[in-house]
Amino acid sequence: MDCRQLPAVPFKNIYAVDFEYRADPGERPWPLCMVVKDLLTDAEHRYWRDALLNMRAAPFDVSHDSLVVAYSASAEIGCFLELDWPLPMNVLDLYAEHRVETNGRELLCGNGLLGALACRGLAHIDAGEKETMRRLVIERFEWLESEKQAILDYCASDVAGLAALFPAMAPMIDWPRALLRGRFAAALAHMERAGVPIDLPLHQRLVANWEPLKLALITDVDAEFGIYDGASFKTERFARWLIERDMPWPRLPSGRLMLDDETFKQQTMRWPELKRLRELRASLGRMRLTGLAVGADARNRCSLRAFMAATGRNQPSNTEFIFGPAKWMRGLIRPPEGWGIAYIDFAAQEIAIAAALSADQRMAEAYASSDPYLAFAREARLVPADATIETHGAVRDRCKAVMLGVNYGMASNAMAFRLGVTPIEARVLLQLHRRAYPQFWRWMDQSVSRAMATNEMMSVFGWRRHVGRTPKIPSLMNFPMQANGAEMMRIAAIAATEAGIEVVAPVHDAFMIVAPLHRLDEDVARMRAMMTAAGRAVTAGLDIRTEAKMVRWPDRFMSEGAEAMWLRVMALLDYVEVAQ
Amino acid sequence: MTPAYLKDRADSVLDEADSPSEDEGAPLQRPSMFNLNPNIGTREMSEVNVQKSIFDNLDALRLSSSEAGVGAGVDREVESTIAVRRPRPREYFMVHPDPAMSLTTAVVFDREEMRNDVFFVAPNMRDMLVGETRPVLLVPAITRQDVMFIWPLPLPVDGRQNDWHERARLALERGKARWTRMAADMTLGTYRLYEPVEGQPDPVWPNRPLEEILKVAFAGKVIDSVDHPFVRRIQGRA
Repeated sequence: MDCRQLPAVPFKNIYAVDFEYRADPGERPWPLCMVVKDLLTDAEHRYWRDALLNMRAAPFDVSHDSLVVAYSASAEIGCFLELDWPLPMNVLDLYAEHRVETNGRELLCGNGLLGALACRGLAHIDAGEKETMRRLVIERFEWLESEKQAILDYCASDVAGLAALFPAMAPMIDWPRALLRGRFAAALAHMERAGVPIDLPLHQRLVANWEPLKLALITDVDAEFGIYDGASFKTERFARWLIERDMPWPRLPSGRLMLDDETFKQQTMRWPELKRLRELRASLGRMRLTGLAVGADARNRCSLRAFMAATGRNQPSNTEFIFGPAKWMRGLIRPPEGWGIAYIDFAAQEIAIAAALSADQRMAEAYASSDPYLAFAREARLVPADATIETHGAVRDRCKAVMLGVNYGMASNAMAFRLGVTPIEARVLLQLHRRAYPQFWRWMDQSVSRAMATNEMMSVFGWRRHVGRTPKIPSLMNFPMQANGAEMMRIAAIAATEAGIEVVAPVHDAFMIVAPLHRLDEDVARMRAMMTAAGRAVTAGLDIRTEAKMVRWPDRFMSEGAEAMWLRVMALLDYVEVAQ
Repeated sequence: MTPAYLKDRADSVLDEADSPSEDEGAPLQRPSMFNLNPNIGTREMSEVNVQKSIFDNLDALRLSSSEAGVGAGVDREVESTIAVRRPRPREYFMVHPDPAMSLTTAVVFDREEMRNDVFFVAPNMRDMLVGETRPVLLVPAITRQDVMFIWPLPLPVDGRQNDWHERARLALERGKARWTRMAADMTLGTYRLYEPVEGQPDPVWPNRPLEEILKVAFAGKVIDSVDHPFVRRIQGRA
């Protein structure tokens, strides 16, 4: 099919664009070459790095009349930013659109460009050749003329892939929302380029001493548990420890203890004495400190892997991203001298979305009351009208677990386990929630029912999820909250980056921004206003509160509840350095 | 709702999407970008009787994605499984409408110790298992997610009706003509039935005879001798 024959493509010019670039861990992209193809005339142009550096703008029209087509477009936009070129007004990210079209379906060939081509029956270069060329790009700084030609040919082959993919996908594209997702590619590129400021000297000390530090940490924490043998976690010892304390623990169908972090997290809520053991396992088991991608300019940068999750949320690598490893490691986040950082999150975002989309007035009122969990407790008459978090903290926590759990489709047995109550008590709590918020439950039932009938679910801005052959009802129940939460984050990211705020990371339902100290308060206020506006855009009017935590140089960022572990690690670091 | 700061661009995109671009409707200047020969279109190419070179018609030589072993159609299920169960509360189903695609027979529902098995009882074992067997109608059903299963609908024993079974029977009959969902309402003491508000496409039934479907569904789950583990267990011989 000829692109000119596509009736619904509302642009005068359509360019398929691809860059090859080096992207060393933690560093900004280093553009090597670019190939652009005009999809209406088939004219192709190739540019090597020296030519690109001499240009003050892209060598093709990026105005309102033109469309730039790319695959994982934030990488291309990242090269635009690196070259200091004006950004394209209209971007179509075929990766995002491929995900919208196929999310939830079983794909044999994955979500890369090759996979997107293959699942539409379009042939392309094989993956082996792609890997060979990728290595040629990333492992060198100088290339022979013949190698340059080969890299340009390879880049052109990806552009040819885009040229084949675009007309195959165009008839299915929901243009206004696709262009919104394309606009997010620019926001994403800004955030990936900015990176999270890291205390680089301290990071280097931790990495250099990681092995002895690990052993010191085990010795220190395990003194009260007696579970480790050297660096090995001994399951039998842990089982014995649990039995001695009469502590129930979930098991796999095979009968083995469940030892994943999520289980530890759930158990730690019930048994706080496990907290240090969980932190230790999180710190050691994943060995993530050494994988953190930190550039020479002391910024943690990695691909945020937008649209990767079925809900449309980002899914950055837990190894490379500072918000992936154990929470105490976030203490490495520190603003540069003269700067401050702010962590701004949507307060109880999922409850607000549930209240707004279900139009449950009572749930909206509970959200507006500033403590929705206590409001539920009052609504269910579990506490008197004048109850506070101080007088009825335990009941409030229980109600919080119920309110959040129902959004995840949590059934009474799981809820009972989480709360440490009997299944009957959990069932009563769920029943109270149903009575308190009947409109929410009607909406939830209908949403799932509709998804099961139509085989798809969609967010308010068009992020689609196919139900698939083996639907998981809890995940369908959770989809509206998560997918619309992701939309809210994307809209806020677009607004903030276009307004010039330096957003360094999206973190689930929060953003981290940096600003010079004299501008920090102002940027935080602007960011919060934009997040509120994004919230309204998704909820059609409900105000979603935000909370901001600011850190000014020379202080460092610290996650809630992580300070004790941080101080312990710092003390041990001093100790192992001296011992060496 | 589009936020104010997105409106200008989003609206203009919408406007543009509604109105044809300047190029639309213009005479085609170039052949399809996918034709390797720039002077000839695909259709004309097939009409050329004499080809000068084998490379003049590469489209005819190109392997399809399935032939090339990529994309759709690279594998197919060979040892399929078919569950024997009733419809789940959240799933829409349709029931095979052909009377020849159903079988009235006897099964055992084994629900002891967290089991949830359904055993087909061979005729020679029915007398021995009196009190354990249930008369059922076995009928293929299919979900909106394209998953086929065998629904063992319990039939009245000695003419005694049961609200649950009666309602399930009604769901089964409705399911022959339209997508249906049935969910237990413990307060009401029976199933509630639902259908989608919007019409949904009819299922594509696999072209397999009932015998073959039942063979797969009850593979390893036929009680046909006194040595069957279920029989041994209820006789205290396990």
